[in-house]
Amino acid sequence: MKKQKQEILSTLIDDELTNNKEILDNLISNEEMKDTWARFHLIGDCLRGNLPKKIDRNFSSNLKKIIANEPSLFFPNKNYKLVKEPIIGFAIAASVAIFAVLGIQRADISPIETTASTVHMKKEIVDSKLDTFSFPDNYVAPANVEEINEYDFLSNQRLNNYLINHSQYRNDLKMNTVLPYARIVNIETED
Amino acid sequence: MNHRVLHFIFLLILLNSKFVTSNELYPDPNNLIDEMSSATIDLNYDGIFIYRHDNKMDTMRIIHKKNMNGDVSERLISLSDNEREIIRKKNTVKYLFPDKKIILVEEDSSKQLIPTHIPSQIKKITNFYRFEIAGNSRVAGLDAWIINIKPIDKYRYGYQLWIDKQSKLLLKSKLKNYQGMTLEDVMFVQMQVMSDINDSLLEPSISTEGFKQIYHVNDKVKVPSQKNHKKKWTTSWMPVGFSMSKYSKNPISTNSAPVEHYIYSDGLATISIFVEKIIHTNINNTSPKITSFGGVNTYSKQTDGHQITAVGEVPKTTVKLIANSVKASN
Repeated sequence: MKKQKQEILSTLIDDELTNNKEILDNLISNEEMKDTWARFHLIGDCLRGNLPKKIDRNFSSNLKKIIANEPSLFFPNKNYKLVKEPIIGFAIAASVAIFAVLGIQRADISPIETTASTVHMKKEIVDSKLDTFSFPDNYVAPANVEEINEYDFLSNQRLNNYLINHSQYRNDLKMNTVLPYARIVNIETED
Repeated sequence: MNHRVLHFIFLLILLNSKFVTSNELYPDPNNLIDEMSSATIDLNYDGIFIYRHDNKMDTMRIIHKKNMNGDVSERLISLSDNEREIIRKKNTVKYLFPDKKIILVEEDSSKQLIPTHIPSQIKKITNFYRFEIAGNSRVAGLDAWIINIKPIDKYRYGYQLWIDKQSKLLLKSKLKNYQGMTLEDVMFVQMQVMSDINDSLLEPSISTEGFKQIYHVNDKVKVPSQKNHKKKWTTSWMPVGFSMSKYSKNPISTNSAPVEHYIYSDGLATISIFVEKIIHTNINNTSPKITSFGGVNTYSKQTDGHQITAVGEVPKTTVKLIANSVKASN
């Protein structure tokens, strides 16, 4: 019986069940099944290498705090009022944007010192997944520098102005790697 | 005998062709970025791209023309959400907002002040980032090289670029954090390189009749000089390789309070520090705040009666450490 339940849970996790309601109802009321469910997910994350390097033991309470502070969909809290209109829109963006994409200032470029005009592709790079951007394995995730109560959105005009100015100067330097102004599209401001 | 000679010649040809192919396949990534830098300015092109960040996706069209006299004209058209256009001719940028019936005109007289003190940009960048050819792929129907730009430390972001093998234009880019997670990406879905672009394509398609025009002339940008620039604010911490490249006072014309803007760069990433005097009406919240817009992070705090805000395409840790190190100099 236990094995059968485990198989059902496994199938459910694999999203291969068509009638889930009864199983989910059982899952909610059955502590043993809930433990099995959690274990299966943990094993799956472990196999896929998705486990975080640092597990935040306060995750659950922090999440509750965030949810408690979320504005209600039906009774919006005025403090969180966001305007749907992007301010200086999409992009001063790209105007400059595109050509600025990593457009390193040409006047400042001195002859590149290379011993050969070509380099050979490293085997490990060739073998790696092209879409993966790997970094050293010895990287240690920084401590949680932002306290959760600091993680707040500054959706005010001042910050918008700062971002616009930052993008403009960034473009002046022509050292951009992604459309600097395109980011401004995302800025929302108060009415 | 003749048979052997023929075999030898054939072998030589094969070897030679292999080297040629090898050379063509594996260009130097630094040279490639240099060529891309030139191509994005010098070529005439018309492309459609997608900009994806957080959970949002914007589609835009860019038309870029380099005139015979060397001036650059561009037009950017928003193809999703609000109908908006941005037209750039020489140093004038016009932002057209039909939904608000506003044209914002920015004239930047600082173009000639592009800092010349930054020595050999690419050489400098290679001190803080590693460049690698990661392979090749196809974007917008075009064959492209993939370049990885990896930071040397966790205080800056990395990039992955797809560069058109033929035109050397950038076709796709990803901004990545130190763990390799993509924070934002740009991808062309269509790109046409043209010998010439008709000027009519650089005119707005939106009728601006009845629009309110707002002018902003930015002429306050200065290139800092150790001799004549006395910085009132100093930073005691900055990631290795970042140096101050520009300074401006009151860059935000709409602000009532004075604002100072310090710009630092390592040759690739840029960090701005804004210092704004606190007037009781302009800043109410005293607690430090952090926020993100795609790959841009900001950290804001108050010190010595001023609001200090660090903004940059660098990790949150970096902007926080920098902002916390800013102090008024004696």
